[in-house]
Amino acid sequence: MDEVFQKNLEQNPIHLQTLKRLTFLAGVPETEGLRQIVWKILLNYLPLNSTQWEDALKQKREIYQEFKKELGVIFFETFQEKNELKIQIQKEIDSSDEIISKLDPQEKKNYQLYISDKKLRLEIIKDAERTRQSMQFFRLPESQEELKLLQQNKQKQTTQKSNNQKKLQQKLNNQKKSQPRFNIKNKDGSQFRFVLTKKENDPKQENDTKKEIKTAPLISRDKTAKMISLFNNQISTNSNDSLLTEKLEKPKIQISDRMNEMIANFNEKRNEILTIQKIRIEKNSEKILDLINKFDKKSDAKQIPLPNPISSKSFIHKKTQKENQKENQKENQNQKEKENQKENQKEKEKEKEKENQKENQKENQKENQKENQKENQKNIQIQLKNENDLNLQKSFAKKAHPLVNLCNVLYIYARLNNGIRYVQGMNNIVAPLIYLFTADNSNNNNEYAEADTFFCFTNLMGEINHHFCEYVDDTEIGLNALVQSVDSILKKQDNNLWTHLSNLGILPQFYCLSWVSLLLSQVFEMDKILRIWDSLFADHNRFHFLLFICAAMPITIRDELFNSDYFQAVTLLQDFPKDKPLDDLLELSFRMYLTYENFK
Amino acid sequence: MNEEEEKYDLKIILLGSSKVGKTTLVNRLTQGTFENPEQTTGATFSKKKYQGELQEYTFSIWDTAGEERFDSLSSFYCRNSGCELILYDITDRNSFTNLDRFFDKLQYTNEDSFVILIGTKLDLIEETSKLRKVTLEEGKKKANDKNSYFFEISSKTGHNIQELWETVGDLFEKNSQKNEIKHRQDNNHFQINSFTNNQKKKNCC
Repeated sequence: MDEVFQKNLEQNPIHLQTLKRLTFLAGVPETEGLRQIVWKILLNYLPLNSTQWEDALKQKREIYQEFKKELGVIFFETFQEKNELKIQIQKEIDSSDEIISKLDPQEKKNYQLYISDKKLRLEIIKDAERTRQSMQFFRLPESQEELKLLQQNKQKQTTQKSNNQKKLQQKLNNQKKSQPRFNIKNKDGSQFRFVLTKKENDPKQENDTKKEIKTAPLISRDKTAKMISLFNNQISTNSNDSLLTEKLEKPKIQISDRMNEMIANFNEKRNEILTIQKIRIEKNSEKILDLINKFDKKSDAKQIPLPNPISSKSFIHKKTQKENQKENQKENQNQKEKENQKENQKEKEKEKEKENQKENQKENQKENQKENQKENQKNIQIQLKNENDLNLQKSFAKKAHPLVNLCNVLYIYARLNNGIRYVQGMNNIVAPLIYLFTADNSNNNNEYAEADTFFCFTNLMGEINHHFCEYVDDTEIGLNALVQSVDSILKKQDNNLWTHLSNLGILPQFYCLSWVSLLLSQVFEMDKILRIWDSLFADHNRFHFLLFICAAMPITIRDELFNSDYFQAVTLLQDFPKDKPLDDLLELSFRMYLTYENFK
Repeated sequence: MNEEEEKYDLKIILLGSSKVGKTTLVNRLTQGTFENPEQTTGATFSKKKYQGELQEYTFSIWDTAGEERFDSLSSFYCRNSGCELILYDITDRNSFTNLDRFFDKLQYTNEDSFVILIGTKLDLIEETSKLRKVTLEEGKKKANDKNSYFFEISSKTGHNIQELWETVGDLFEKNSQKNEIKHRQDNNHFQINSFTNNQKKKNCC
């Protein structure tokens, strides 16, 4: 499975449809750095052409830095500092009424803007500080002392790491002669490393990450392979005695004759479109690739076919040692140049800071002179600017805490999107993104986790902002309609359970409102959310699948629900049991999705 | 209202701006714990028993989201409620000036429901009284204007929590007694009472 995944990502440009199909059913393999890339592609942050990635990322990240410079940032390092900041902002807000009454109309406007900005900041901080506090990752260190301790520990770890890396490199250099540079055709299937671009294919990194590969993915690969074979069987075989109907009957779900009819219809329709897919998916990756290749050629003439896997492999084999050496040399040169550039930049920044300080001093002097005449308006602006400069300096100099990243993403988004600004719940959407992108250790990506999160979040919000907008609640796409369609899916799929719930008087609004509006981010633990979001983002009819998961959730706990009274049932649904295996839920959701998708 | 929901003797609903401490109060009441919960989306349901003079009652508690985005939803949850706890944060002036938004929702509740206005986070001003942004008198006056009962509480220290709960129970018992009498009267003097009932309500509210 993993090999197929990698090969798909290695082509240029990446075949989006295939990537979506693989991710949707199997999820992204738990290989370090892979999910980050897939999400970035699926959320339209990275272009499909991987040679453009470096430039695209650089450009976006610079833009984000400009946003921060222009709009300001929120910054604190410890729990203590955060509370002080909150108190300080609260003070300003509290005294605002008094100040406003003394101002001229023009000044009033500016001041009101200033205060509304403060209110926004405070609101964001207050929501952020209670986001996923059960995770150590989002918890701030109590004080500066704790922070220092943490940093020291980190340094120790990194030095150890770099020592290990050196050793590994030596080892690798010795082995280099006998072994090919990287081995795709690993029968294990779980071991491979995805390489961003061929140039950066640094052997020491490769070996290092290979060691860090997590071997225990959340969903067993076997099971996902089964799911895929199920999926393929379903579309290739004819209805009645197919695997699908067998499987469907298993989980105690009643299937009416009408539903069988629907399945048959559905299969026929599918067959018309996908007659090519008649081969069962086995673990043999080349067969799958071939299959996909054929399928894609026929189904979509515009898209560029996959390269032959054999040729790409031989291409890698052909790379001689000399080439490698050359590449290494080039890389070294590039690195040196980059370092020089960085140093220059740093110097420039320092100079700028000095200049700024001087300017600030000058301004302060001037202010003192003019203070008695015209103070307020300018004062406010300067105050804002100084504050921002100070925060900016701090935030650029030090690596911010994930909680601060969270605040800033929300803050910049709110400032740039004045119509929707900030609405509670956005914090839950940002949290998994921040978590994921911070965990990306390749190519210094984690340094830019905030910028990456910001753009992915913005793109994501473009598709789900109606979840946060009361005006559209009652429209066709509104939240109420979505909740209703979850209810109707549940009714179709498991009428007995639906009747039981409605007899108890449990309305779908009671439980699946937060499920739908926050993409289930408040229901599950982080590792499960990541897997679920793989499928949500890869859904070809985006966020339609979400409704099916929501409808499948009560069904996975149907026995418990049947044994419950009103209170127990509502509690079960609102505080969804965490011990239920995600596999079962997803399998059921996939099956439901495939059956009903075309019959809405 | 359905059969299952009727099993609960009283439906209590919590209203108030976001971050005033609605969920925290519910946790204090039902579990006796104090923590900083994530924001509520939609509403969450819980229950608590109340030991009355003669029998034990079970009250259902609906904790709503304070976020304005879910405003229309909390009206939906107000249906059939017999007791409304309206909360504000005594260290946050805005949560107090916004209160009318929630008093407006009382039109959706039961006719005989009772309202308790609650100022929260009393523990915060025990250290420095500077943090207090809404005075006790202001709170009392607001409650008076709106014909509601009044408490200042701390879910952290548990201050006034027991008193609050007993008041809810007392008022419920009084209300149900009144209803019983009214019910009897309704049966005996159907014609007369249908006329005088309206007047009575005006007097007692």
